[in-house]
Amino acid sequence: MSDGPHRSLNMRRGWKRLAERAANVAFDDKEKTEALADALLGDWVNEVPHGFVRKLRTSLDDHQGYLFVESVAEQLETLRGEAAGRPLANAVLDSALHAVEHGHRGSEALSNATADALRERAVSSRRQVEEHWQRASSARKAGYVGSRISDIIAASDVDAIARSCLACTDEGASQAPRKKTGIDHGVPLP
Amino acid sequence: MTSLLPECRVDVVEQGRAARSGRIRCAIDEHLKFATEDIETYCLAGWNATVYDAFVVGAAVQFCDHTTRRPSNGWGRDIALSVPVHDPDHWRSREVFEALHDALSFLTGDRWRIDFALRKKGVEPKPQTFDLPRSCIVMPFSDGLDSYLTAGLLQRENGGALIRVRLGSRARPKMRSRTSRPHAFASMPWQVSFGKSRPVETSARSRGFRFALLSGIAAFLCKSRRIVLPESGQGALGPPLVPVGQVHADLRSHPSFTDRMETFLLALFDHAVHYEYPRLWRTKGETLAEFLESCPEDVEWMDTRSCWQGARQVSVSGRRRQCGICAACLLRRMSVHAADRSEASETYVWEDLGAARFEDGAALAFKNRKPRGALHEYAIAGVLHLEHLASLRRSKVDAATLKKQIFLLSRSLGMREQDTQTKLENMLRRHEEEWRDFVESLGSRSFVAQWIARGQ
Repeated sequence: MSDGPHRSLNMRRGWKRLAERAANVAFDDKEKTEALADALLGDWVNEVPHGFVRKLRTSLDDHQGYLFVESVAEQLETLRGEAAGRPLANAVLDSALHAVEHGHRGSEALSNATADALRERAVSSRRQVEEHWQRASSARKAGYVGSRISDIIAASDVDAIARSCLACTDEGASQAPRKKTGIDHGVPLP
Repeated sequence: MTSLLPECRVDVVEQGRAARSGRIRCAIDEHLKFATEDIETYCLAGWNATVYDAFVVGAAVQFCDHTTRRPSNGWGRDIALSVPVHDPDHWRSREVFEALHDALSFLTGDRWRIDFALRKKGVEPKPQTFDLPRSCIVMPFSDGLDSYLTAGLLQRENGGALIRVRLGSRARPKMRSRTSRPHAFASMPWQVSFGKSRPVETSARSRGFRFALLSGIAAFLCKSRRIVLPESGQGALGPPLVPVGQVHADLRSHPSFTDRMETFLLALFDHAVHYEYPRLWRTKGETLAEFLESCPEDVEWMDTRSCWQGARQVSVSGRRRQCGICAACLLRRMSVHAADRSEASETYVWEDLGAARFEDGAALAFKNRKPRGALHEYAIAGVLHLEHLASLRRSKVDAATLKKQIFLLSRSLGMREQDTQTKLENMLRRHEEEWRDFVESLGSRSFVAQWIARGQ
């Protein structure tokens, strides 16, 4: 009954930029991890509504310290409607259920859930990059770019990216990816 | 600011009636067709108007799902649907309403807003008499390999207790003997015609709802609590384990979706059912091997179809084949190899996966063999999907996702996470062995081997 995947959707701009940096040795590690953070932040802003995060935070807050796992999980499930149509918000919700089941509450649970959902998105986007690069160029290049993106994910502080995403939601403003046009933004000299 | 979701506004209306302004008209008996002979295969003693209304809801959901294109670099849509039913109060009751919306949103990744109007004209089909067993197990049944194999295995264990619920069009003549003996549930009760709206969206996540709904209705009508889903591990769990890009996880055959269908069916019919997954921890290759061990003379499994592509895309010299290179076909081919069997090369358009170039693997008479375009893209997606699934167990960057999937599965199946982990890892290990063995059998020059040797 399950048809399996057909072919992946179009890549978003942030992931295209990350793929280009991953493929190009002229970019240093910092620029690559920044591109990953920007791509994830772009997805977050696009897919995770402010109202959803606010309600999620309230559901996870356990001021009394006696809320049972079942009652928190039940409350979280009521947020499915808020996450409908937004895959990343749904992933955060699943990760929040996971965090609660493993004893986390409050802002710790929210940060963990956000970081896990972002890691998951980073890996699924790496698969998408591989698929698109293989279509457009060659298997060798696609494999190379995919491996480099895995390295970038492993080297990135996804917990810090999660905190930025949550802060961005709190501020209610999105951060545009930083464009580097200045003379000091070229390839670092050895 | 989050992006806006594309909107779809549909009014299902009875024949001769108009839709409201700004909404797509979807007429019963015009766009949603319910042939009497098909409906009557569901007309058991327990039939009531809610069964018919559930057919209309199922057909309307299918219409909406195919009518609105998903955004080009996003996923979700905002779907508002109005459906006439015999008892709107029941459908609007909190339990039914919430469970229906929860199941649909969870499955398709869209925002659904369904309201119910009073149906003007009632429907009373002629009750039929079927020779059904007293205690039965219901199984949704397609022309696919998993359906055929699992039905065969269950038939041996349970004899005549297995009731097959036909999905898709009526059984092909060769397969007809395998539909349920008393011919209950032998036809899809509806057909959808898109008219001017045309089907523009092919992701078809609502198929899972259709299949779960029909098997749930069948279980209600024959008073069964057991519904068996035939999917093997890679088909049920593969897509959500290795999603690609910004897609909503494909949960069409996943226990966390059928959990929600259980809640919905209980609210709608006041009848409890449970979906079972007897092949969840087995690969398709293991299921085939087990089947062949118990039915060594059977060759009809070769007549099953795994490919989802239409006749226009995959016909050679006027005869429809299976493409042989999409994820579903590749999974089938590796499973046949794992079970130490073979199929005629003319089964597939891509007869030779050992060819060094993609375009050289297709049948000579096949015109659309170019190394660019949709078939080439499906092939890349298929090969990478099976490769990613094979590498999952040992991928460090996937570790957190795998843990979460184990948690979600355990929650739905009522298992300890440690037990789920062991079973899942075993299934993934066997998948990896079968896939590597299959690719090796194609030779190192094969385009499939070249595509996955890229990072090594």
